Amino acid sequence: MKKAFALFLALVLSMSLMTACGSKKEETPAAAPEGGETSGEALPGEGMKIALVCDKVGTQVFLTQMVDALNEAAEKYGFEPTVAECADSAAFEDNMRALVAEDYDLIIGGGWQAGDAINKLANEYPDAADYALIDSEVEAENVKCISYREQEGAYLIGMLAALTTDGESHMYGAVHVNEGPGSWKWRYGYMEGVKSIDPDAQFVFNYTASYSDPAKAKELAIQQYEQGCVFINSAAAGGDSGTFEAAKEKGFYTSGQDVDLTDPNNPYIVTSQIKDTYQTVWNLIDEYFSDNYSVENSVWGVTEGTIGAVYVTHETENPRSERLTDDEIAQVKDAAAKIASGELNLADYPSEEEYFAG
Amino acid sequence: MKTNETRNAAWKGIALRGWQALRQPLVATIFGLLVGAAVILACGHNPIEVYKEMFEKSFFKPYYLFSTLTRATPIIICAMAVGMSWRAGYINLGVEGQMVTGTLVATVVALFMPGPPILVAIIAWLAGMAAGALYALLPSVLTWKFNVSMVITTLMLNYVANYIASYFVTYPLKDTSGDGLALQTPEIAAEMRLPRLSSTSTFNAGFIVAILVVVFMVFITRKTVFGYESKMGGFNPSFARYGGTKQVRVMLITMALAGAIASMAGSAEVFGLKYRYADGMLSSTSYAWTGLQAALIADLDPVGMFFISIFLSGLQIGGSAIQRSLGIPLEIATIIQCCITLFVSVKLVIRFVKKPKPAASAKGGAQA
Repeated sequence: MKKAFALFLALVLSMSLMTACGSKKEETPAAAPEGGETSGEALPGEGMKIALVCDKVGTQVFLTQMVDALNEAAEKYGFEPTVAECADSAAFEDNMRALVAEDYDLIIGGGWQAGDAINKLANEYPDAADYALIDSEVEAENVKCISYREQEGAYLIGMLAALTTDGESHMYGAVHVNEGPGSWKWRYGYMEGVKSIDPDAQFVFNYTASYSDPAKAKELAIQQYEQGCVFINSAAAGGDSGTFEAAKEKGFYTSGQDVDLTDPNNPYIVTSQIKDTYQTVWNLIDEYFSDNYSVENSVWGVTEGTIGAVYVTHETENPRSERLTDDEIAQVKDAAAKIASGELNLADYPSEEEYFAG
Repeated sequence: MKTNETRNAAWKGIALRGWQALRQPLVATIFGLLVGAAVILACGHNPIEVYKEMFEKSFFKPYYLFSTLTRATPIIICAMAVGMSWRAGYINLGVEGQMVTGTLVATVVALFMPGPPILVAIIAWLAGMAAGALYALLPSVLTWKFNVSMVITTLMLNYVANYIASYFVTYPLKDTSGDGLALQTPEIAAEMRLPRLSSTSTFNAGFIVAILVVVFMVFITRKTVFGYESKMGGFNPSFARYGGTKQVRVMLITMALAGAIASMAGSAEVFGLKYRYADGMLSSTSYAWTGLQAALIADLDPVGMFFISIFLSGLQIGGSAIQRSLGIPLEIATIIQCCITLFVSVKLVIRFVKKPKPAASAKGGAQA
């Protein structure tokens, strides 16, 4: 009796699976011609498949921008876009292997978390697909790694920091994650930017040693404030919210990174360094469908529109701090234009040792 | 003739056990699918299409079946580690910590020990097992000497192991090639890696290790005095003591074995799949907890745990497949997975339709 019941249920299940096979085949061709009709002629990406492999997208702006760009580019070029979200560290490799097995043309790794997996796949299946990786670098030569000249954005932040402080203090703070070469890019740009306005500036840097430690970031920011900092740049990844909270409590000024983190409820966040992943994915896909695509690694900055700062290169709905006047913003915009034109060159920068030795 | 008959009987036994293990998940899956269908409908997708994709890309197409089995490897071994300790009545929630400790030690030995690769690999596995066993003995000794609750010590020691491993891959063992952002060790030498069993996927000899562990478990539980003693200790500690088992000895051996098995789960992952230890690779994937889930659903029966681990792994692989190919947000895919897992976990369903039976025939281990 019970066995018969279970068998019956299993049968129902398998029947529904079989009917599903039929229904899908009818649907797929119906969806395909839509793109073709709107343009009137075959799009360059017709029949191609491009996938973005990234962390859980959720509400992470860094990733939602990539997804938006991918979907919009898909409309322009007619390829089939796929976003593979990865729930855990093993899923990156699982998903990428599946994408290779499903004959994808271009696989884009969104963020450093995808680095190891894409490196492995590119070595193992060099001809199966094209590979690109955003915001990280790996050894495999057939992966197009796109990194950023973060120092250019940090330079703009540094200028804004000095202009916000208005000489109230010559101490400038920043809370970073690790004291490595990645952080040095930021520190260098920030220091140069501040010094271009306030030559007497002195700096305090502290490190949270974790990508998600708001409590520690807050503690460090308060310590820097007590040392006399009026502006404390926050580059502590997930810890930024701690710095922002401290800013609101103590009344010092701060800035975020990667995406627009200005907030109408917290006027102390005067700007945010932008790493424009939307523009990055567009640039990448435009290049992919142009004739001169190469897997050479690229480093993009203000010139390519991928790096910038809120109120300078990127607009926001949130009100600007009263500490920044139109003239001051114009001054920073001018610097951004100089960086874009190459007049102000931050692409080649000294190593930490050279900088402090000289 | 006679050997044929016994062989047939043996096969029948295995098939029956497999069916017994799968029967409940099957019924539960159907209920789970129905609830999941409501979620899918609410999100504006076609449930039949979603489910077809989900099962096709986890069990029915060879490539994905291999992915499922690959992911199931550490889960199966973790389930065995859980089963080993739980059936003796020791609530060991520290499989994750034991796995992390053992794996880290195995990786370090594989990276730094000179010598012929095969030998080094074997020593690395054994060193990992020893480390896992020692790490499992720590809470056992606390229980023995100070009567500390093992639930708490094993659970808390997971965090200790994870943070210690994090430290090692962040500072002394970190691989600085590439941009050096990822917290991981360098790769182990190619000769030490477990061979792949499929040319298209990462399915590797780790799965054979998992099967060997299952066979070992079945042997221990059914054919050895130790297996009987530890089981009795789990059923009725007072009776076991009265019967003359040395409980401390049984506890220490049980926990050491559990720790050693747990370390093999991580070693299989490092030597068969990742070729390096990366921060969070064993904790963010929840292998130990999925293994625990499988062990509890299967009533600590080794063969049942084996099949249910594969089933749970298939749900995870299928979940990411529907996210990928149908553009369903990962959160929704997770809800569907959870609906099915939830129903599978509810043993009530099957007890409800099951007539009460003499307890001995239902429990496979009881005859041993």
